[in-house]
Amino acid sequence: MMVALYRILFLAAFLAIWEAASKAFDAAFFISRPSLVAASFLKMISNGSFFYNLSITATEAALGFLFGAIFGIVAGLLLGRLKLLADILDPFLITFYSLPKVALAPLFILWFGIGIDMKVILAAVTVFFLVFLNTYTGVRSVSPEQIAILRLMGAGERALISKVIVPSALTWVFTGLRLSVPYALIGAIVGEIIAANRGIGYILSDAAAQFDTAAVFAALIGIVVLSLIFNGIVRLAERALMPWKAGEGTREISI
Amino acid sequence: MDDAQTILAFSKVRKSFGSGAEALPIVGGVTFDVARGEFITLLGPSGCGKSTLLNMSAGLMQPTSGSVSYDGAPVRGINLDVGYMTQADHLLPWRTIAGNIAVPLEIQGLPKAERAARIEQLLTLVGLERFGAHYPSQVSGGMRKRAALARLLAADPATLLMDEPFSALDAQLRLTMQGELLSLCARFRKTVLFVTHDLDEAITLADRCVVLGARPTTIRRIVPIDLPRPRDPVRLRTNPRYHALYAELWDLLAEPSTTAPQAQDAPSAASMAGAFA
Repeated sequence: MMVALYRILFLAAFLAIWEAASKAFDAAFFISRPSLVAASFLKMISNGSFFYNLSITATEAALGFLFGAIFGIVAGLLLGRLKLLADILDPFLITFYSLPKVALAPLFILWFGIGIDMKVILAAVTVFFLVFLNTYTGVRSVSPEQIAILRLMGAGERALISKVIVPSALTWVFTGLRLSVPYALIGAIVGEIIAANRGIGYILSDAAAQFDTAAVFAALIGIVVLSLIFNGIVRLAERALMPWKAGEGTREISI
Repeated sequence: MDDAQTILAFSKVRKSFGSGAEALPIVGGVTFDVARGEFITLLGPSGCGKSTLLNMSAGLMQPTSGSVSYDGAPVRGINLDVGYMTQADHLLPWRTIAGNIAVPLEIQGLPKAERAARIEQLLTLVGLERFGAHYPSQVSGGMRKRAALARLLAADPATLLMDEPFSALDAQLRLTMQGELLSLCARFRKTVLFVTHDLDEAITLADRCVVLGARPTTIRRIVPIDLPRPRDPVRLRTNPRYHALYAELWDLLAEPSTTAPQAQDAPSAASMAGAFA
């Protein structure tokens, strides 16, 4: 309760100082001002452009996240179980992984145009590696004792995957998914900044080009909101899929 | 007589880890037979290769030379007739206690209704009827051990391989668990290979106690434990024969090794994990 109160006070103080400083130094051109940002934000909401563009970016990021996550999980499971394949592909995957995915944007524009698919693919490629590497590590770190015990109970590969490997890797998968949320947004927004005529990234670069600092901040608010929503969804899914994690926080520790 | 039938046979079993000049011999020629329904304890110093003998019985590793036979045939690949219980309970943390006991039943393909009834039964058997819905992280170490025992019984293997399963428990709980194991084995006629470095445990449980020497392991002696059954782990302590056996086993263990003891600790390969390394 107290914490919430202090947080509100902190926010209020921050906004007040921003407002005052912007006026005192006549710096609205560079840093705008909370009142101007609010006005710009309300205008974008009332003329519908905020939700329209936000929904486009959300769609791109969500689709990119979804495809990247699905391929990442499948590839992680597959390579986690097939050691030889993983050994063969290892240098290629590391090479591709070390490449900043954003650098691929020009190539993707060439291949897929400047429509929504280019952003989806850019986001998906980024998400893929994070989810893949985490899933792979998760599959690899499954306890060999648990696998041995299930084998002795007569478990085949399918039972092993469904009863031990997937649930055991799930913690890692979700770490990958949580890390991926901002990257899905980066993929979508960078794609929009580079080449687009809609989406929140387009609003951002368009406003900056017109020196409309207030609109830039309004667009940033939109991005933050989107990121929070995405994170919330992943967290909810995590809680629903890993109910045993809830009990672990409350147990006694023994060192 | 059916009871005297040999179920598990070790014949000149040797096992080394690594190869060439760096090969580390763990088991140095072990030969003994286990009869169906017999309770064998393997007693020896830490790192002497007791677990390796269990791993070979389970088919998790192969002997370097010699053979391990189960039910008349050499063990090749996973031996589905045995169940394993180790010092760590290895319960699946994402499943409740009941869910963990369900694992072998699901693998056997038991219909859901029968499964539920069987789980109820097993929970009652190990005294966990009120904890079926708890996750392993929410119950005590003793309860987890009971759950692992119930899971082992759900798998219903003919032979139980137990690798110091009670060593992490406090003295009192250990006696209780030993008592439960004794009554369960008497009831279900299980063959048991039980590794321990605890003299009391080795005597309390066994029909015969196989005393092993330091690495590379050989058998020092197989001591028949001629104490009457049914046994009560607590009352046994007052039996004079018990003390005589204790003294005999103690002397056997304390005897200087005929082979030079190795200075370094047993490699982790001696654990089950080694079979998959």
